[in-house]
Amino acid sequence: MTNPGPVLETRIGDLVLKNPVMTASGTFGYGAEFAPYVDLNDLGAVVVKGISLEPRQGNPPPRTAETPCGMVNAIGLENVGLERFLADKLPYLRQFDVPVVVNVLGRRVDDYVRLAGALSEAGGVSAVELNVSCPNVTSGGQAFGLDPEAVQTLVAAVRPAASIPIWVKLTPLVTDIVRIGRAAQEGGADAVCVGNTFPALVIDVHRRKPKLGNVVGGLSGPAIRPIMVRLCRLLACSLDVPVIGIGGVMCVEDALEYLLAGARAVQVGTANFVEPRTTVSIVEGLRKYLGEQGVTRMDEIIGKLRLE
Amino acid sequence: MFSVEAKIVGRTHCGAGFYLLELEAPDVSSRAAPGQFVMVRVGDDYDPLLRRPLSIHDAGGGIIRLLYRVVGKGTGRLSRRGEGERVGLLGPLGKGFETPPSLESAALVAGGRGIAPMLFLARRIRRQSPSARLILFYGVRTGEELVRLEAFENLSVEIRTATEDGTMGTKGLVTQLVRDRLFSDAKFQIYACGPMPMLKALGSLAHEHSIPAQVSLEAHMSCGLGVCLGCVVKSKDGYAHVCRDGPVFPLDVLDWEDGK
Repeated sequence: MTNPGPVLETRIGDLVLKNPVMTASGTFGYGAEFAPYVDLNDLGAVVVKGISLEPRQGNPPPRTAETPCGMVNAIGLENVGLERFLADKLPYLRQFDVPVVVNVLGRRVDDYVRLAGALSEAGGVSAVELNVSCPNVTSGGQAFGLDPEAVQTLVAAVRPAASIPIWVKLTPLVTDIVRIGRAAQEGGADAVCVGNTFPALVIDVHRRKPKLGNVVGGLSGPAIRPIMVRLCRLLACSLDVPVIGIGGVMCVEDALEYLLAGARAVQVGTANFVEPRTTVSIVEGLRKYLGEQGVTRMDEIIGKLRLE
Repeated sequence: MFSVEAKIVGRTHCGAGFYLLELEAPDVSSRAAPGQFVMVRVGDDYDPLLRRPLSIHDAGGGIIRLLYRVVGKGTGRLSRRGEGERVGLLGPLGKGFETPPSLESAALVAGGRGIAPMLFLARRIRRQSPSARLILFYGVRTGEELVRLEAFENLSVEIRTATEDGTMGTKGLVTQLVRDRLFSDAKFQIYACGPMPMLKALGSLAHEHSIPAQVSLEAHMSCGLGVCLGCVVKSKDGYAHVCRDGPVFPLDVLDWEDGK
């Protein structure tokens, strides 16, 4: 028998991922867009663009602005809506041996309940990720994400409707992220994801105007990574449910920072725009790293930050 | 669509901050169509973070040619990359110009750096319709910004230039040149690339004379793949995505009402 090499498998609650590298919502379309560059079977999971009950057309342009080592976006949750997602997008993803996670967003608690219910019944969806943190639209869920009670109430309301795991994607811009994370856990979440973009403003000084049509947007990319790694560690040290790290993961070292800080998996976002093969390069890099560290399983790395 | 590390095999300063960059990329080159673009990674670090969308100026023989003007950090960085170095190239991307199998006459209308996609288009039309009459209407602010004229001459393209300051060609805007021409001959198919006000003016002109027109739009793009949904433009059916639905659009599908 040949040496099987290190096992990258990780678990998010009951959900087994073949490796800890997934895509972040809104940066990987509905999967098909990246098929020319990435074998979707090689990913830990595919998290698709946020879905609402009805289609949304999004914010007026300009919608993105580049900043040093980052970008600010205010897309405005443009999406095809639940019905078209189920009819046109999900069947494509079902052909692959990869868990599909659907990010969902709503205006009211009932919207999330209906979305989670429909996606549970659809078949082929492994988890829902509740977006309680979009900074770019008034109904983007951030009103929920800033308030621990609202988060707990929302998750508890969705729980009975969802027969699949519920992940909650948190906003990083709160005074006490652990309180919000605990509220999600109390409500019945299976995992928390930290986190969404940071609310931000970029100004064109010559025109004295905001660079985005929506005025404000959300900052992502390597610029925010160290802040997110810390938040990830705070949550991983305090919660019982798994934590998923998101924010500026560009290469394997970045992914490892989150994993060592206690994340059971990471999501790759902005990097997909820069280099479409980032996710699979990270998977390769992890395999190499585990070999170099002389360990055989991801569990021997996750949360194993040395503090002495 | 390919993601490659393309070797720089040529780099020429064409004046006025314009550069002609030649890249060895056989896959991209053989698949490319006029009006399509590539996403170029200008460096291997994260500042600037995003790739730059550049339209394909010419393609063939395993080579992709890009003509761009240094306008900011990304293009400045790209202009300092030398021969033999490699740059990340993603493409060919987007929907290009539609060229009927045989064409009697076509007007290529370019404003400023909108000249970039026109050469590849002229080459394609010339190949498909060897006897077609091709006229390039090319407008810039000042004479030194007129670049690559000899490449068009080599394809037997008639050239009419306009400069805003009158240093070369007709003084004024390129749209005026087109207007004067169209009154005498309305059989043109129009292909255009340039700033929004130019395209808008051309839009009303084409509409007035019922001339079919296709325009190539420029937009800030983060991915070029249709996933970030950043590069939208108003069409008559709501927002269209420049990277995936374009960058070339039939002029009459765009909604010019609010100028965006």
